[in-house]
Amino acid sequence: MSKITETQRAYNAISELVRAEILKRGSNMQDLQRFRQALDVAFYLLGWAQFEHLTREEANERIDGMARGATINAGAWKFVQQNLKGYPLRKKLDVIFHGDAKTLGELNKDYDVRNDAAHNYSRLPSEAREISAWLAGLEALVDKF
Amino acid sequence: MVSKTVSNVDDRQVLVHLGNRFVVFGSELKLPAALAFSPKDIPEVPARVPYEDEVPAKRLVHSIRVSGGAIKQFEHEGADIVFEDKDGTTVLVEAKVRERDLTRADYQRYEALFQDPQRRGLSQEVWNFNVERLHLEIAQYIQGRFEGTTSLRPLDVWEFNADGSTFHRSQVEERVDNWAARIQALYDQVTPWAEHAGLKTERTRKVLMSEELMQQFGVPDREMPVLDVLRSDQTVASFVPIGLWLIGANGRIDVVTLGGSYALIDRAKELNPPEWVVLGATRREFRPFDEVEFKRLVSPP
Repeated sequence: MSKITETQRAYNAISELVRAEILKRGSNMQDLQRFRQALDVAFYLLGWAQFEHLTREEANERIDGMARGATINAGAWKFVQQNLKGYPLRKKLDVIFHGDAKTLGELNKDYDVRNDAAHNYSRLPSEAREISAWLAGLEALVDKF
Repeated sequence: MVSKTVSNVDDRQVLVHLGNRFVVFGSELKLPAALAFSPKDIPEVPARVPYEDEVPAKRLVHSIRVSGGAIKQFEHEGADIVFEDKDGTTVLVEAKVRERDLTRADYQRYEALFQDPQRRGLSQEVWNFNVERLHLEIAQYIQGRFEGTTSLRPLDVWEFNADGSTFHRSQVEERVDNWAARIQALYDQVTPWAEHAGLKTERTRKVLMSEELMQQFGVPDREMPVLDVLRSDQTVASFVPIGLWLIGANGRIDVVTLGGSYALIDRAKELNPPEWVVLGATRREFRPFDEVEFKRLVSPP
């Protein structure tokens, strides 16, 4: 279990408070809508940051392992290892998920959403707002490392 | 309002190509007015770009066309555009593309720039294209002194599809109107179901609809009603419109209840009669939304 699970629990708890507030008669829906959007973006970015950290560590370990191997590809992996700082996250996702095109595709889309939210201050697209389920999905991926 | 300006900005319409979008900016004061530009004025359908913010500003500036005057030259005498208004006055224009409006500091900076002896005797304007909220702000200077600004709104917006056909702002407006009508129709359907269950309904609260496509096409934000379902004075469920443009669905309304939140999805194709379903907890199975399902949602947990 990683910190992502703790993040999911925190999100669920705060979502419950927002839900209770929505059901309060006379509460200001437009304010709650804005708070909800900010909450979703914040937890999306936090969840992704935690996942990204674990992904980088996992990819680095795998690259180290492959660079130490006695295969013909070890030289190439050594080159990657020496240039690890400039090796982008998407490539590191490739290292881990190259055998699972569906997951890799979804994570690349998630990364686009993250970039839009982090750099362009965009709200999350409607289909990316199932934050709790999305965090659970990340945790499941991390469990399989 | 503008005073002592070189020309009446409200008489102009400005066409600009913002990467994929073509936008005709004009004054709302002149509405209804015939549009000065249409897709027929674009001789060649341009290739689409992946990201509009990567389009060089120079290309954008060179795409500008203006009615109510004539562009004489691009990039001349230190200005991006040399424009001659309908009274024959020459105006030097600085064109800027930003995701924000001009600030007080901008006005002062341009005032200092336009005090330059070489430019001081000329009429000058700053055209600030706000690509985030889609409007064109024109700041006017006479003899280097700031006179005021005028905001031109998008009168029309379109993009070319791959086959050369166009996707217009009116199509976005039609989808938003259709979404509002489907929400009202759903609430009208739910209201008697609530009464059958001894519950009341209220539609006093609103949420703001402001989706990305609406912003891109200059469609104003719109308030959508929330339907509250009440037992005595206690809200037992709130229907909250979440969004229209979703992958694989034609809109989503969340049903927030005492027992949890549920997503109500319209599975019908766009502009078709709605087909509302409730997504289950795993988001993989769904149930048709009918009176039985409604009663189940509003039952005490």
